[in-house]
Amino acid sequence: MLDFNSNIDRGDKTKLTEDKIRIPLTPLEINPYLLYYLFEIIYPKFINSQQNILDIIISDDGRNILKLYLYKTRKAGIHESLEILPLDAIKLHKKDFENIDKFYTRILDGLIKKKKGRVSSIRIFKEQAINHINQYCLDIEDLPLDVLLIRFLDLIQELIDRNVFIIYPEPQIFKFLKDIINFLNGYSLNNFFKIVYSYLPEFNISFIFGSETLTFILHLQKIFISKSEEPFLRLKLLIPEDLGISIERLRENEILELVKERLQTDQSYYIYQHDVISLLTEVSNLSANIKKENALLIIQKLLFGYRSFEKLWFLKPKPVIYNNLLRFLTRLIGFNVNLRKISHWAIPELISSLFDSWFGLNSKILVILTDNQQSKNLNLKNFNYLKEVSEYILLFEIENKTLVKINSINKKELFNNNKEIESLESIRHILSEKFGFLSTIIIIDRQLVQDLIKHFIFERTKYSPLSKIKTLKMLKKQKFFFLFPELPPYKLLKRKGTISFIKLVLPILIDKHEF
Amino acid sequence: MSEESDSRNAEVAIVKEDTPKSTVLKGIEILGGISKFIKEGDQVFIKFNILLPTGFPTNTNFDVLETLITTCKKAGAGKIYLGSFPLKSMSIKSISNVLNLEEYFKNLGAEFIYLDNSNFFNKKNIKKDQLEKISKESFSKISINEKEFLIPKVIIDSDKLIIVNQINVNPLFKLNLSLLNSYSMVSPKYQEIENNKSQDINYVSSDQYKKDLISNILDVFTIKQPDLIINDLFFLLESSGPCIYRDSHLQKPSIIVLGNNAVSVDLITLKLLNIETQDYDLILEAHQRGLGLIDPKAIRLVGEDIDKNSIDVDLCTTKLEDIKLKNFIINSGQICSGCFEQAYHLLNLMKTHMIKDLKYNPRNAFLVGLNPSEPERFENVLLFGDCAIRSTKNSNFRKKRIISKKTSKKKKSPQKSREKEIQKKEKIKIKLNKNILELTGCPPDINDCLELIFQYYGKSNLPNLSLLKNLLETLVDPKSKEKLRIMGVI
Repeated sequence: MLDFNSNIDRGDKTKLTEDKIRIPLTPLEINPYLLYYLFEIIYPKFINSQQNILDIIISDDGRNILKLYLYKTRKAGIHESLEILPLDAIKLHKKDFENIDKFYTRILDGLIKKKKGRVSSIRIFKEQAINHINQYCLDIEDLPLDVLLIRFLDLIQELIDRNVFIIYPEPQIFKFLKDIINFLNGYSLNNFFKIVYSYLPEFNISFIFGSETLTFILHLQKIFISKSEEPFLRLKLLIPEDLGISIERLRENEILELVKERLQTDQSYYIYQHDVISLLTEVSNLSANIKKENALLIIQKLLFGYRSFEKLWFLKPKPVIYNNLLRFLTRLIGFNVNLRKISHWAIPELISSLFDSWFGLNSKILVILTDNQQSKNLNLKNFNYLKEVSEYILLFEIENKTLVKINSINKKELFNNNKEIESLESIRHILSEKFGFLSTIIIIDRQLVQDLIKHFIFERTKYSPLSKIKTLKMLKKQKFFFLFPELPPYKLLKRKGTISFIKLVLPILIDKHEF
Repeated sequence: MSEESDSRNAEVAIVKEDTPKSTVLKGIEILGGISKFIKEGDQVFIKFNILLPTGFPTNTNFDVLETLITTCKKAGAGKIYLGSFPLKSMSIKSISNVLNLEEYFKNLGAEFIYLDNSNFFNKKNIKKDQLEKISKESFSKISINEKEFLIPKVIIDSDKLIIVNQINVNPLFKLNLSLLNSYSMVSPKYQEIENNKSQDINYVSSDQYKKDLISNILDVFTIKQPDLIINDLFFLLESSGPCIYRDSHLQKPSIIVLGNNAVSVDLITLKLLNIETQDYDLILEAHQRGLGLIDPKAIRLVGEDIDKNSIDVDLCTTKLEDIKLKNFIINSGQICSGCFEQAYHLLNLMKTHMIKDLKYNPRNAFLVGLNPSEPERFENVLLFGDCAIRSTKNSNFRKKRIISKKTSKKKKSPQKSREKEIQKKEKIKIKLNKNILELTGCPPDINDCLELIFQYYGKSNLPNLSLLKNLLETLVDPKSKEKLRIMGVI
């Protein structure tokens, strides 16, 4: 890779080869030019925008330097050569790790004196960190991607929790990760991935990230080999040339059509690289304790992106709802579903005003994720069924409109006695003693989440209004969704017919004016 | 506890800790322990805030209440009751249902009291006379300064009264102090200021409304003075309040002020928040009535240092014009506190819950008070309150100038009949402006205003208000309004 990097210039497509190269820390093999390109666009944005990196490997007690590697980079992130420096090139002092800034300046001075040039970034690995990385890399070629991702998240958590890896100057994304880990309060990152992953249906999607320099394709699949077996995740990173597609002079929809056909995907999305990078930059610049204002701004941007179909993003097959005739007919029966007019400015405001009013500026919300299929005889007369079907129990703490903490609640601790759960007030009582007043309990069943994801995200290309209404109707049934105490928005949802509820809310979600 | 001894032995603690629970516990401890306030077998009534069925900090912090209940139980309190009257037209039962208060307090070993007896409203076959009987049995009629108040017997009969007051900013009194909190010991009907003099110009200029209100608040306060007062500033709602509005946010001073005299506790709270007592007419009036001292030096202060812990608070705006509403021009004339407070809440409610509605309806003028200035560039005029309606009877905006261009065709000569000279004449017609919405009342009722606004602009132009109305309907049972009237609550 170093050789490849040292002999290439941006846009130099003559360097596109048949060869494949492995992305560091993954089993994914991709075109070397694509790897070069990814580093070129991602590293300066998220890690460091200056040249040359020094890797320092030290003993666990922090007293000795074990290895020193100097990576020369003409461009940030593009490693072109590797020089092993003598161990005495830098001296470690006891208090170096208390004041990294000072340590960095000393290294800089030392290297300039020895004519090794400037380094813009230092990465310090304790020996333990190297062991963790080596452990992680063991047999990675044979692992399914979902398992590998879980391992990777564990690795990040280990490196941060044990403080065995330091990077200076600290990139915003690293701070963000550290914040998230602190904020999770001991709950592991991989558990979040597991929750999200388990709710996703089977899918076969490709994302085309378009740019004038190099367009690349991400092919993602969640596949069930058989019903009895666990599904596995498959990911491929390709360039159009890998599929025999020459994209020059092709429009976005034409590229989509070809990619969809070659990869045999259910859906193909086309997104511009600069939009994705700018969104990710904004998200990583946020504090993990997301303030409501920031969260609303991100939602606003996402919704603005969503309404800009065929301007900022493209999808094949084209969702039926964008068909003007169908939209007109739907409007005739009283539903204005113009997704190009989705109210990106009013929706966050609505969420905000409803949330602040009914949950309060400070609140503690317990979310119980259930899987009712685990119980054969679901008795909804009381809440004893929760003992059997609760999968994940999370407590979200909000202070002054900011999510400040997430606690994972142990199921056995919560339901440890044989006491009947006649009402959810008993759960509130138990947890309020430990965490302070619990304002709300929300029970959501797996089936509901899966159906929402399936019908409103993965099958959004289909019209199928009945299945969508059926899914929304599930929100009224205690079996699938329950809010305690029953706040007015929930009462309204339960009282009103689903269709009249949609009619009531739709004018807020979609802008009135067509121009 | 007599009034005199109460003032003379005023003792106030300022406590700063990590959690609301530990702050309350420490506060009670440094005041001499709970046994100083509660004796074994005492019936205790805890008066807290329940304005609306919404989240914190519209209502009291439940962690503070829980700690207090547990502490009272430890002191051997015989019975612990809790309650308060909410805002007008809201039954306590509907608030309890939303927040599940009855069961929550029962689990803590206390009893939540429906001061308006709304727990009887849904009983099958309950008749008017039965409700009247319940009302007679549960309220005491008390006369003070030639005014009559109905006060729940449970409060009068309790051995000890504790006020737990969440400090939020207030448009009329800067802050919701404990004196204000005690006012909701009586129902909304008795909190209303009777106004027979609104036609009198002096009523507005001298702000008689506020004077009457202060007098009423202090009258109610004297009916039963609290034994322990807790002003909770652990979290402090600022910018706009006391309900949760779009601009509201919390400050976390982590402080609680508590003591045995409400006026002294409020005075120290004001000092802590850098608010001059001289500007605070409620405290001055309380002092004049001999209900408390206004010299902080005369108060025995324990706990944290007042100067080292001073807090800068962002108070509610004192000008309605500063509440920026999209597509609205706000013009205030001379305004009394009653209209100011109601207009403040209405405008903030619109700003919080009607974002899309405001955008859909351009060029509106909101006129309030006596002789508000003429609006410019408007489509709709909202006149808020009787003063605004009356004083603008002859204003220019009441009439609309319609300029029509009439085209007259004249034949130039009989020979050239096809040649016509087109002459345009401008004609000005004066018509009554129908785009005026009058929100009557002195001051107007917010619920009525919302209904009138809804009818005026129409459902299709108000998607947000349409949803809000539906949400409010889940709270307010139309039948309960009549029952609240029978109970003498509204």
